[in-house]
Amino acid sequence: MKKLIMKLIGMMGILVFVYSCQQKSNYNNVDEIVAEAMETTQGITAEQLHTKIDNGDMILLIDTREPAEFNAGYIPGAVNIPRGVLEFKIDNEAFWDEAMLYMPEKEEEIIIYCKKGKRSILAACTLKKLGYKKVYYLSDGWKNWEMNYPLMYEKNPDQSAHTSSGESGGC
Amino acid sequence: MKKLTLIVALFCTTHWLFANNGINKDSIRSFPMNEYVYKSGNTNNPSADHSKFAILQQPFASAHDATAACLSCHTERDKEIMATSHWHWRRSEKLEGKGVVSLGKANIINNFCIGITGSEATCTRCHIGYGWTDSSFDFTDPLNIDCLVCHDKTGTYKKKPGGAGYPAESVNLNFVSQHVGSPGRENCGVCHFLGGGGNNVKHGDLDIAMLDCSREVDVHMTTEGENMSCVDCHITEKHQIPGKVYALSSENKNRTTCEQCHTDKPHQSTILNEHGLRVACQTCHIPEYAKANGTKMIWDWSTAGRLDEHGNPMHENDADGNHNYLSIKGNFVYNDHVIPEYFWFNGIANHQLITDKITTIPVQMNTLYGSYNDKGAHQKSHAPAKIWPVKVHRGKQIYDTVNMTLIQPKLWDKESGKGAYWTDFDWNKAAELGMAACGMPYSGEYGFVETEMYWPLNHQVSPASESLKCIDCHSRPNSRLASLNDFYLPGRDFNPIVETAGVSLILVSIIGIAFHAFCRIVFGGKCKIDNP
Amino acid sequence: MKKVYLYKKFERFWHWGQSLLIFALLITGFDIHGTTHFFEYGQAVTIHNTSAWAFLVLIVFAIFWHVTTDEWKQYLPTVKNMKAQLDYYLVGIFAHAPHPVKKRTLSKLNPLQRITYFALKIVIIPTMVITGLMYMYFNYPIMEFEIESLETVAIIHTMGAYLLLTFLIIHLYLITTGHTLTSNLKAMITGWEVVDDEDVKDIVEEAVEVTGLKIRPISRTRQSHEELEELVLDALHETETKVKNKKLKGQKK
Repeated sequence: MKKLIMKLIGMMGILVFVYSCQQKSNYNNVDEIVAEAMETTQGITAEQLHTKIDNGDMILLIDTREPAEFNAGYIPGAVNIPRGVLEFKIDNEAFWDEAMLYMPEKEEEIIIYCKKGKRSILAACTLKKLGYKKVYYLSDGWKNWEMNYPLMYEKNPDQSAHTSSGESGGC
Repeated sequence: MKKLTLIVALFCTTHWLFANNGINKDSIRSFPMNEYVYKSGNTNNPSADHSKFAILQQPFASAHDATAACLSCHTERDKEIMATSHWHWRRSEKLEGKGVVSLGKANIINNFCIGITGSEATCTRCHIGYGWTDSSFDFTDPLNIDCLVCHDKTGTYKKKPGGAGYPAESVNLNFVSQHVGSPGRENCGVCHFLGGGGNNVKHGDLDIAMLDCSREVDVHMTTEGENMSCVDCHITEKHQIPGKVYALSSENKNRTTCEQCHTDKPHQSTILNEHGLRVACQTCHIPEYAKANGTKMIWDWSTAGRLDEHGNPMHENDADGNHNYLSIKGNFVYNDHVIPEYFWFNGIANHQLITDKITTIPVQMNTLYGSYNDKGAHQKSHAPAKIWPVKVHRGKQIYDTVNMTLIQPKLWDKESGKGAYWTDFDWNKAAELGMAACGMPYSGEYGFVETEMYWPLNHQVSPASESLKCIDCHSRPNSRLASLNDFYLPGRDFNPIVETAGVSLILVSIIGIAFHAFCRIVFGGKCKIDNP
Repeated sequence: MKKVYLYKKFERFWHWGQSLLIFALLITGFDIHGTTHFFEYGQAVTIHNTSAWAFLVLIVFAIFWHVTTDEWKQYLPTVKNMKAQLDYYLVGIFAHAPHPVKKRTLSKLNPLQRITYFALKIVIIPTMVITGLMYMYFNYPIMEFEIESLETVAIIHTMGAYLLLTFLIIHLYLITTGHTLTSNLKAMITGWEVVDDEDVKDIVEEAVEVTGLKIRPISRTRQSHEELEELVLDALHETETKVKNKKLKGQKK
């Protein structure tokens, strides 16, 4: 009887060890990293964001795309901090002074978005590690916002890279 | 020894029994193929060298003369062409509730550029003929046929903008006509990739990237593999090209299908083959579209007309370099790597004609028929409906608020002041002229209404390793088929009452057992009744 | 306490084969249902289908065995002693009371077991088999019989699965209610059940009666019957002597 129990415990131990090893170290592609980050972060829908903006809620909306992407069109009220420098600028007083905004407190609500949602999930994960408690990502990102509210955007046309295509629209 | 043999036998049996998932184990050339001859290693030498023919070396005064030269040898081809829908831009279709209608690009309304009536001379740049500027075009004159647009192999043949199908002056018709051949991707693509006013605007899965792409973009047309041309699947006989676009065709006939080459049992796994009864091949094998370049997802005509500070039409781009706003057309939203929406489709569609009243909003420009209960040939109904991946194009376009019909505006004219919207930016005038050209009344009152149009996907097939996996649909959260809930899908659906009852039953048993065991441990040691 | 051989090889093979297959079916079944994620979905389907076919084969063999050996009689439900059995599980067991119903070769199951296993064999397992086959072949209607929707089939199959899982949990617990925690488990592995001394006598008597039922005289005269009785008594005497002299096969000296 004792032997049986010992064997069972041994087997379970091996199973737990093997199974848990598959969790943390090796990822096959970036989608797996994003999938795992999604489990510890929370998303909001475009509709929810739209309601917050309509109600005039005090939120900090961060666009983590590259400046060229941002200038071509962004959600009204968003501030552009590319993902590459996010962790370095988020608690940098000089940056916020220049942007003429208040530096976010750790308890403030921060909403991050990128083009399709994946960069913002990883960014949200990092900000949570830095101690920011109420960080959310916009599910499916800027494209989701555009598809739902195609006319609600702002642009910086002077700063956006102008690519002239051969034919402009008509046949 | 016996035990060892037994264990080995057991292992081998279970491995054989359970290892035959076969889902991703098909090697590229091991699945059943019908009739298709693998191209690699084939040399395709044409049977005639057209540069040797004297008739193609004489100067051509006009494009019509080039056609006459072609027809001097290919004497019956004109009759073939004039029996096709590429020529007439319409064919007879039976529509549900409307009888037999002559329908096609000539008169259909969509939620992209809306329609060609009133603006023919620019739209017919994609017509396989010369000179279609208005309804007076002679469809019976063989010399109006443009042979070269499909058969040019030089890559220099271009039709000029606003030219009603005539070639640009820079084209050397002799050079082109001396180098003709079977149509390649570039011949079909010059029109079918650029429909709607730009690359990949309309279909989402027909894109100039397919002229030279990787396996990940399109596994059939990839230059890294089979390098198939359009006509390898759309097998043409006597100029009849099968495989009509679903958005334009209504009856379930004359299709090009995957089964033509791949048969209806292409997988090793029987379960995957069984899926083919209710799921179109395209659903699993086109997991996303617009993989190389973005496609237009939204077109809002109502914001058109905003000019720049000099009063000239302008454009704005989005982050990916696609048009985001055009003065002549309004706002757009592009997207790439789009996940399709899924619908039941039995091959039969309906259309919102210019003559139809608007009854629902968003207006359904084309309705795809089908439902779970449309089951199939050997079952009760005759129109098998399968789950299809579809691009849904949403938009806002002009309509007559009094007559409750869509409006066909006149969009283009060579000169300004003629009422074309793209030059004069006057909706009222454009609506009046366009509707008159259609023979339809216009009340003078217009507005903009939301519309939806459905484009089933067929191209940009992904490699087998990228195809959908079971859990993409058979899962409770995030099923791709979340919106199709007229049927029970194992893995996604459940009955909440049964689940609650079942789980409660199990929890009650476990709690009961725990309590019982606890009591046995606690009381078992104390009271002992001597066995009599 | 003595050991008695109650479970023959086929019966044990059938029990363990069945438990393995039902275990596989339950795990993969709930995977397919979307509740759990032990296996990759496609794998779960393959294992479920293969186990289902194997189970069907096992069932055929089992039915054959039940009929040809008369073992089906063991499962006939009865209300005799039902109350006593329930009382034992709810009260008596905590006071180390004896089992109210004894195991005999011809009656291995207590009333509660009888009714439960009967319900399993006649109601639940056939329902699962039938709904399972309907689930598998529902895209291929036979002649005009076409199932419109998988929903009803799926719901019944799910209900049966929950009932089976409940049975399994309770069964795994109740097998610990033997003489020791593992005595029932050991019995189902080795075939030998531990019984009380008083029961040994009953079991031997039962064995003799069963054998006696299998011998008949050729003619129906009283004399033939009396001759038969004498033969039997003689045999019993001989056996008695052998037991006393420890000459019975298998008996240790």
